[in-house]
Amino acid sequence: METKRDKRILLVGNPNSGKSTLFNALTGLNQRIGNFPGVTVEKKIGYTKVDQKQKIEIVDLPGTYSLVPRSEDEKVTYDYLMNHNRDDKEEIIVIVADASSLKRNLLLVTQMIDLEHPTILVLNMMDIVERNKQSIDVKGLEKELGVPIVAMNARIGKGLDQLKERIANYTYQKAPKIVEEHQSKDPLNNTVERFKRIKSILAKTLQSDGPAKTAETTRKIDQVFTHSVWGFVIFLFILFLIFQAIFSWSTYPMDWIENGFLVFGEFVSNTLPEGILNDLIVEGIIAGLGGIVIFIPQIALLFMFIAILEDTGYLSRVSYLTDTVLKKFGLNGRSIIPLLGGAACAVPAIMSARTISNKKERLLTIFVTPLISCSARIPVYTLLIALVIPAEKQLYGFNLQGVVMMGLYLLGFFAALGTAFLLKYWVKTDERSHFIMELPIYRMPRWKNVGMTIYNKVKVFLFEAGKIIIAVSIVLWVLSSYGPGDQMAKIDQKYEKIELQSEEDLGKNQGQIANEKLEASYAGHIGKFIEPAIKPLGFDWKIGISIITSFAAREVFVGTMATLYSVGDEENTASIKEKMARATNPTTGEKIYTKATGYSLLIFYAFALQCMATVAIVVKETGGWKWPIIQLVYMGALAYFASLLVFQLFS
Amino acid sequence: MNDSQLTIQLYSMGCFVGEKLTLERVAPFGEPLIIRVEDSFISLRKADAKNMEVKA
Repeated sequence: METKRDKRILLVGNPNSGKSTLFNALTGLNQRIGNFPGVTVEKKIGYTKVDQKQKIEIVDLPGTYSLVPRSEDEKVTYDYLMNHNRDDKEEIIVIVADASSLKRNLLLVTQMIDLEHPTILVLNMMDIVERNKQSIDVKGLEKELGVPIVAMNARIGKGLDQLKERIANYTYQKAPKIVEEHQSKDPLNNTVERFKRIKSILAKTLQSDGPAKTAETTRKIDQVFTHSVWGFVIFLFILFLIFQAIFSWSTYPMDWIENGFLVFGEFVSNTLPEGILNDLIVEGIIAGLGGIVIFIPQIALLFMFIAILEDTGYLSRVSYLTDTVLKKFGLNGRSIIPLLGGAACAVPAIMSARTISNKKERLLTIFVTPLISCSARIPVYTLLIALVIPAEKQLYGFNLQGVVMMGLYLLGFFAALGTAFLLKYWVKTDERSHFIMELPIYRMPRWKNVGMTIYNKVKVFLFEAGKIIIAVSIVLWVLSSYGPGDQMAKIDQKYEKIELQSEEDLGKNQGQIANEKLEASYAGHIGKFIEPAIKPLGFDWKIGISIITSFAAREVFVGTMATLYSVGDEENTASIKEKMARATNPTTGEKIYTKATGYSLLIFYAFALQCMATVAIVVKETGGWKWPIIQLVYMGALAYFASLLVFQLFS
Repeated sequence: MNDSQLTIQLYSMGCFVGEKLTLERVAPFGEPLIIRVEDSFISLRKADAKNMEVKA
């Protein structure tokens, strides 16, 4: 019996052709995105069942207008298609074309057909074709192009079964070339030849009745959204709305999660037999994870808004509006997408800078994106702001906590622009700068796509960050529970001698014992070692430990604080915030988290590049260690001196 | 991008010889522009548009 080879589908198509929608429709939740460092693959891979027996792999390649690669992003697609020696899987290319602007989409389609790979053409967005009173002779087009065609509306999954059937029963038939290579080797001539052919093909197969309705609607919306005044007003209003939503809507689920973890921690603490394992799980892992899970609502909301803005087609309008301004700072209208995305996470944001074709503009964008306050800073900001600013405090009628939060984001944004402006004079290039961008028609967001994006991002955040946090929590718990020599034992002996007078003293003593032990531990020694360097910024040795562990990822700060302040707290009833608020300097008795220290620490976290994932992605995207090291040192110095200034001003 | 790549880029976005172009909008400070070709809208800077020859 003949054994069938496994199949792999390569999804190719113009940007905005609905390629990702099709990918999601085919794979559902059965997909993984390799865009987190360590697995830095720039492609999405999923699986689908095309019939009872065949489960096939699907690779979603970055969108491209033609096979003449122009940006890094398009080059990924080009290289992937040109590499034939991956493995022995049978590869079928599925080209997704937006049927409502067929002429343009057929350029890539005909180029792909002429590669003479097994190919299926998907005519997507047939609903728009219908709405625009156009009609396509699919059978005729199939004959002209020589490849099987499936007409679809991927948004609602129409045509999906036909596509699966075609894939399952695919047999390759060589199609005649649309443009012979000997006719024109030069890419420009080749493109001209191609368009001539496409025009003659479409004359036979496409009928339309006046200008498209959807384009007219888009034009009307753009009269407001890209308006020289209203366009900017609307953009700022949308940003403001996103902020409000993230910081007010999310309070309820965050409270539930916080309480849930406290109850859970107590439960585990009481259920498990007392001892080291109990301490490690409750004080190390649960406290560390709880500090992170609580921020999922905010992160999910942020990713939701960015996904909606992108999905509706609005983001490209923002690029149009901001191009002239960004150009003055050595950036490009396209930079606004990484910069906005940086508010969620710098890692995918830096990857999205690939669509910028000018190398200098791309480098500048990559360099400044980590200065934008990302979602990992949310936990740190929220905790510190709540700690030093009373919730009821108002500034001109606005909640002061919210104003400070907004201020930190603005600070990051202006630092990014300022840095780009300086760097503009330092990095030299002869390359010309371009801005050419399609403004796709406005569409309702595909809620399934939005949901999928949130699901994927939260999953990555939870698992990747969770792994680091558990590891750091365990190491930290060990380092803070044990110390060099017999210092820890001596503290125990010291307190054993003191006779206990009352219940009250007992509690007091326990707190003191815990504190002294922490100081005598390995972690304490490390913190004490760096304390002289950070004392001018208002930080003590406990904060020092947190800053060190935060180099793995910023959000580890909260987990570290949780662990440091839980060690020895057997009851474990107070939240981290309450514990930190109670913290005092044992010698002077003054509060540790004063306004000056709080602000200084906020500034430090706004500027410092404390994220291994970002460093890793910058290494990869810039092709070396030079730029990430410059970035690390620059942002570190900026953080140190800004914090120094802030602490001296407020104390 | 060199001139020939730029031309291919514009072609592949639908700005092909013989197409009807409409100038839809000019951003503040004179750039970028939004042009319409058939049913697509393209935003581009003046410098990138200057290679296009337009007949009235």
